[in-house]
Amino acid sequence: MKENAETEVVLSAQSLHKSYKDMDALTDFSFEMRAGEIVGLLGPNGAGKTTAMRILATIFPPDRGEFSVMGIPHTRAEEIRAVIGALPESMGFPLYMTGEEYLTYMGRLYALSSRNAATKARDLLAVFGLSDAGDARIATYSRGMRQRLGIARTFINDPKLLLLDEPTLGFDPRGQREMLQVVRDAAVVNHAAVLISSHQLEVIEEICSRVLIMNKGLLIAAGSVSDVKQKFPVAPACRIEVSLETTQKALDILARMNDVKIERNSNRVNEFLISLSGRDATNSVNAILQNLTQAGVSIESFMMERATLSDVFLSMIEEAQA
Amino acid sequence: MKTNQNQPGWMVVLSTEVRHIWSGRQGPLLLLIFSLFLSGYITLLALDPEMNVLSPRKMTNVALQTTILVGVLVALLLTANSVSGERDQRSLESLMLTPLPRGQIAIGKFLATLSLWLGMIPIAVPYIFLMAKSAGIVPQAITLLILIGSLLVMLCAGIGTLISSLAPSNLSSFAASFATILLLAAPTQLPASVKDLPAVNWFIALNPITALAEYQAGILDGAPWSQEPGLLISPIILLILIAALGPSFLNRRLSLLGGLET
Repeated sequence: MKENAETEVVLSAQSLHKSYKDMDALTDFSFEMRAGEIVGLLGPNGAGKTTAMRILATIFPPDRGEFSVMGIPHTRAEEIRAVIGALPESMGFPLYMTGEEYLTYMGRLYALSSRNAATKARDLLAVFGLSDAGDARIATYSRGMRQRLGIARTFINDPKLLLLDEPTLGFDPRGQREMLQVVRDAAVVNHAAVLISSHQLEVIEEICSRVLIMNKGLLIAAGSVSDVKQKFPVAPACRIEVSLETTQKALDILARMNDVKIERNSNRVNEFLISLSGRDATNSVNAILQNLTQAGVSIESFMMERATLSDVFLSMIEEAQA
Repeated sequence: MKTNQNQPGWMVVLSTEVRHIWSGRQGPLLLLIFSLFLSGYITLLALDPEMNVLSPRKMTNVALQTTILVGVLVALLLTANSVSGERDQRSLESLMLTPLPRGQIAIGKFLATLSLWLGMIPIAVPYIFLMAKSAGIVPQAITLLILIGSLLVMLCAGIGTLISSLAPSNLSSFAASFATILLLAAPTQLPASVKDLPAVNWFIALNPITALAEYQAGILDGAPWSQEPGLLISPIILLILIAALGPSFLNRRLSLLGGLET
């Protein structure tokens, strides 16, 4: 039963298209999400992430294409909105309300009775660490508190699909971690599908089972984080620290080598990040170490650098823009 | 979790907005301003020697017209801010994300605005009573205040809500709402000789504000209530059109950014 719930298709989008005047904001956008899945939506500014999120949240209708949530077609927007929770980017609030009043109001707009809406509001304030501020006006909330309140709002109807546009904005590292845990719980415990758009790629890498990468309205890559890394390999890199006395000698040797690109750490003059653009990274590393030791350079530390999602993302966007 | 399917969403918006208007400073402050304005205006009207050349019936009409116009402008101040204000504050999106049909957001806000007019009526009654007493037309004047005033406030608040729902910003909503109402109200100041021209006569009958003003002036001048019922047609038709078509129009057209594009 649980397995069925987890493999259930929650969101299915086919060939979504949206343009503003003469500009295509979203082109041929298709993908599926299943219950319990957390998917990251990545892309530079203007890639079409927010447009995609707003179409899926039924804020805008698509110009072409279709999508369904829990089998409900996008033409029945009100029914879709009843089963999703969405956090818009830079969302505003009625500042005259208290946090509890706001969540209760939202609950009542989701057809909860006054009493149930108030109970749900208090529960969510507790989950998101806002119990103490529940009676305070939203005008007095910090940016992080407002972001918590906005995310709490998305849970008011126990959604089956969560659409979170930049949910970690305004959080300190601890708050970010707590928020990610709540999102994980929503996916695992409630079998909800979660689509997260974020510029903080480490967040996406940590929490998402799959990523969608967009550029200029197009979906340019999709798959698990490791799949995407394999499909779009970036040049391997290594980090070397040498003794201060032999720094210049090491730089001279590395500068003479082919397929090697050096980045220096501005705080530590004797540490270099070396990108290896040759076909065989192992041979290149061996050659670097051999040349340096033969020349009498004292190597204090050496480490291979693992390509992060951020590296892959940047290289993919550069490639797409080229 | 129990749901409250019997209470329509617009009622939830209405009760929240009414609470906001009356528990905050907005409603009481606007009523105070209205009350101060009326006391100053009626005193000046009663003492102004130029006004003394007018008959008590005409003076009552001037006082009633101004009272209703101020009520309309105050209601418009709220409706012009109703949806576009949320748009400017970026809080409209969270309302649009609820399962509520979008027209119901506007209906709730529109009806909440009318609560302010309900608060203005008891403030205006003593002043209109004082003006109408000497002319012996107190029942007519009070009835007109309630009927014509309510009709006009509903009409103008309806227009204001439609404009606010479509305006891309609060500023454009205020500008368009006030310009529309002032343009419609301006012909009430036309001299009698111009009003008698056939084309102007038609225009007066078609324009809901001038039609109601003419109807009101006739009653206060001693005409029976059944006089020129044609003058009531355009305001009532427009109100029915707004009430019947406005919500479904806004269900489709109330958008995040405003304008007619979705």
